[in-house]
Amino acid sequence: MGPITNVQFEDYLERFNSDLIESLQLVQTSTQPWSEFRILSNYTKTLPRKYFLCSLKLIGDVDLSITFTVSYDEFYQVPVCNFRVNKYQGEQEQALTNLCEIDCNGHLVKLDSHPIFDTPWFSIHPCETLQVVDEFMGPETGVLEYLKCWFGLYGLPSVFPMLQTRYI
Amino acid sequence: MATNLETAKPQKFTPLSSFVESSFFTKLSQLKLDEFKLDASKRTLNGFTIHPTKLNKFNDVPLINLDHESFSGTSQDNANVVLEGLIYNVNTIEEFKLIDKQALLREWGEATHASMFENTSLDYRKFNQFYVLSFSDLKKYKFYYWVAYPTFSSKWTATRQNTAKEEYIRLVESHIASEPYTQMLQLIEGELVSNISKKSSHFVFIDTCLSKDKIPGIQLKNYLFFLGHHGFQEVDVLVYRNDGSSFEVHLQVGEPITNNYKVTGWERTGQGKLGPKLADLGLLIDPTQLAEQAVELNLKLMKWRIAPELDLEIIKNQKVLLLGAGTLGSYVARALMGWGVRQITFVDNGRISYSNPVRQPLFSFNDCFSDNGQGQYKAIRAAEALKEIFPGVKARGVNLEVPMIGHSVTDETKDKSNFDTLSSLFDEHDAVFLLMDSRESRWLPTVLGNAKDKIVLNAALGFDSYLVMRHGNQTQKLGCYYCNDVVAPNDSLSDRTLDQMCTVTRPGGALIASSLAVELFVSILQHEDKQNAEHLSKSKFGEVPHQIRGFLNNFQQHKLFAPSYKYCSACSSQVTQKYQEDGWDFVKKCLNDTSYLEEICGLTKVQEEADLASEDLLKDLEIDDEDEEWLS
Repeated sequence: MGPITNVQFEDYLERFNSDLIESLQLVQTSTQPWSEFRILSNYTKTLPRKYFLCSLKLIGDVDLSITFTVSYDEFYQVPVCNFRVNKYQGEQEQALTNLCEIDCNGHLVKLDSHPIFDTPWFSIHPCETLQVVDEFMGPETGVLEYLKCWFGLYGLPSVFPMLQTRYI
Repeated sequence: MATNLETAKPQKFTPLSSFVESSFFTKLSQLKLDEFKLDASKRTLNGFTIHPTKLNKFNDVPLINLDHESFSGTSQDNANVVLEGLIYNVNTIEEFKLIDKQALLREWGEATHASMFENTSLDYRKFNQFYVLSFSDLKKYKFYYWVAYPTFSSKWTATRQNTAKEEYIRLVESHIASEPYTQMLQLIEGELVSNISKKSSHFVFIDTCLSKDKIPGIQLKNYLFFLGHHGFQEVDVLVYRNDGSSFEVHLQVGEPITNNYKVTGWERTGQGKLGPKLADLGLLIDPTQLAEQAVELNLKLMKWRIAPELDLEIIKNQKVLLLGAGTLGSYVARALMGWGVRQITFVDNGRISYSNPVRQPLFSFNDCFSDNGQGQYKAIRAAEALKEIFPGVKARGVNLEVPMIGHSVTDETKDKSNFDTLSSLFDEHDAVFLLMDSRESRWLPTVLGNAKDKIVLNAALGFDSYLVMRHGNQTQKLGCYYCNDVVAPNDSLSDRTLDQMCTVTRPGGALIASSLAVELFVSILQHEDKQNAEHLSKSKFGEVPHQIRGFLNNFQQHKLFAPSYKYCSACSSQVTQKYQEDGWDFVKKCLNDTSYLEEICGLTKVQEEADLASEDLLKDLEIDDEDEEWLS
C-alpha cells in the first residue's frame, strides 16, 4: 500500500491509540517477573504535530514504568515509537538508561533525541520500517491496520516481548 | 430505575492522581538554572486532563498531567482540558522537608476558595486549581515533588441512586459536543446553565474518571461544597460518563456549611500514604552521563550487524601514551576517543605557538598567548581540551622532554629524571604512540617499548608521504623505525634551516597517518595475538599489517613488511639486553656518543665488514698489466 501520510497518521491516531490500549496485554511467562500492568496515563496531544503518550506500570518483583510515545517521522514516512523506562523503589522513580537489567530486547534501541521533546529517549530507529511493514500490507489495507501492524513490528512489543496486542 | 440505598451513606469521591511526564522536570531544571535561579516565588503552571469524551476503562481515577508545556501554557485541543495551577519550587531539600505542609495547603485552599466564591459561576477553572511543591536537586537531577488539589469538606449523604434518564444524557452529550468544556452544570427547565440559581436543584457533573464502582471524581466535592454554601440542602446530580454508565444520585447535606471549612488535598502515594514522590532523572539529564552513554551506544551499534564480535571493552580499557602533542598527537587522541578509549596521556615539552591551532585540533588561538604570553604547554592543554570535548575521558598531560639520542647529556639530574618519568609512564600504559617531530626523539621510546613489551605504533610524515607502522618485539620480529638504518640515529636538528627543522608537510597527511595509526591499533587489539600477531594474519576485524606507507603526490598507499634487523640500533636483542642490564647508564652513554650504541648493537662491526668487503671487491677489480695492454 506504500507509505501512509502524516495527515492519514494524524487522522487515525486517536482511534489507533484507543484500540491499542484496549488490546494491550501482559503475556505471562515463567521467566518474566511482572504479574499485571496498570495504565498511569494515556493522552493524545497536538504540538502542532500530533502524538500520543502512554505510560504503563508493570507490577511485580520490581515495579517498572514504561512511558512511550508514537509520532510520525516525516523523513522516513513512518510512525516512530520512543520510550523511557523508570524503576520504582518505593515512591522513588529512577530513570534507566541501561536496559540490560530488564529482560527485553534492549540491544534494538539507542538513546536519541525525542522527535517532539528534544530530550533523550530510547528510540526504535525507523530505518527499513517502510519496507518491512509494506511486506505485510495488501492493496486494500487500511491505515488503522497499517498502524497496528507497524506497532507489532516496530512498536513496544519489539523491545518488550512480554507486552503484546491482542486486537479483538 | 431507582435504587434506594438501605442506609444513607456519606458520598465518596475518587481521589485525584498526578502524572508528571519526565520532560516536565527537564524543563523545570532549565528554568531553575536560567530564569528562576534563587527566586522561589510561586509560579503559574498549566496541567491538563483528558477530555471526558475520550475517557476509557483505564481512566479509573481523575488525572492531572504535567509535561514540558506546563510552564509555557498548555495548548487546548479537543482531546484535553487545561487546568490551572501553581508551582512552589523551594531552594533546599531542608526547606522542602521542614515547610509546614498543613499551613501551605491551607494557604492554597484559601486561594482556591476565594476563586470559587468570586461569583455564582460553575466555571471549572476556579474549582480545579492544583499546586505543586517541589525541590530540584540540580547536581544529581533528582526532583522531589508533591501535588495538592485542595478540596473542601461538606457532609453530603447519598440517599438514592438512579440510572440516568436517556433524554438528559442526550442533552448533556449535545452540550458537550457544541459548547466549550464545562464540568458542572445546572439543569433548569430542560436547559443546561453554568450560573447557579435557586430555580432548580438538578445538576449535571461531567465525570472526570470512569471508576468501576460509580464513585465520581473528587472535583464534585468542591462543587457540592459550593452548592451547600449557597443554601442547597438537597440536590440531584446526574453523573455523566461516556461509557454508558451515567447515573443520578440524590444527595442531602448533613450539617450547615460555615466559613470554618477544612481543607484536604495532598496527593497520596501509590501505597495510599501521604508523602512526596521522587523522580531521579540523573541518567537522562546530566550532560556528562548522557555523553558517556551516547559515546558507548554509538560504538555498540557496530556490534548490531557489522561487527558483532568486536571487543569494545578491550579498547575502552586501554591506557594509551601519546609521545607528542602536536599535529599527530591531536588527531590520534581524537580518533582514540572516537573509539571509546578513556585513558590518554600526552607527553610533550613544547608550548603552543601561533602556527599550531590551524593544524592541531586540540588548540585554539587563545592558547598561543595564554600563560603570560608564552603559550600554554601543549601536553597540559591537550589533556584539558580532551576533557572539554568529552568529560568522561581520563586525560593527563606531562610536560616532559624525551631524552634524544645524539643530544648529549648536559644536565644529568634533569635528563635522568626525564628518563625515570618516561620509564614509569611506559610501565603505567598499555600502548605507546610515537608522534614526535624528530627522528632521534623516537629512539629511546623504541628501546623502552621493546624492553617492556608494549604495543608501539609509530606515525611519521614526509612532505607528501607518511609512514604508519607497528613495532615488533622479541616474539614477533617486525622491524622498528630504525631497522633499515646502518648508522645510529643522530642529531638532525642542529645546523638546519627553518624549512628543514619544521614539519613541512601537506596538512592532510597528518590526519591520514593519525587515523591509520589508530585503526591499526584497534585491529591489533581485536587480534587474538595482539602485538604478537603475524603481519599477514587476520582477525575477524581484518588485517594487521606491519607498515603502511602512503604517498599524496600520486595518492597511493602500500602495505609493507620489513623484518627486524639483528643489528638494529633500537630493537636488536643486544640493545634490549644492555638496556635491561644497565638502564640509565646505558641510555646516558648512548645519548652522549652514538658510536657507543653502534658498537653495542653491532653496526660498527657491520660497517667494518662492509669496508673490508668493499676493499676485497676493489682488489678483485684491480687491473693488471695484461688487461692494460688489451685496453690500449
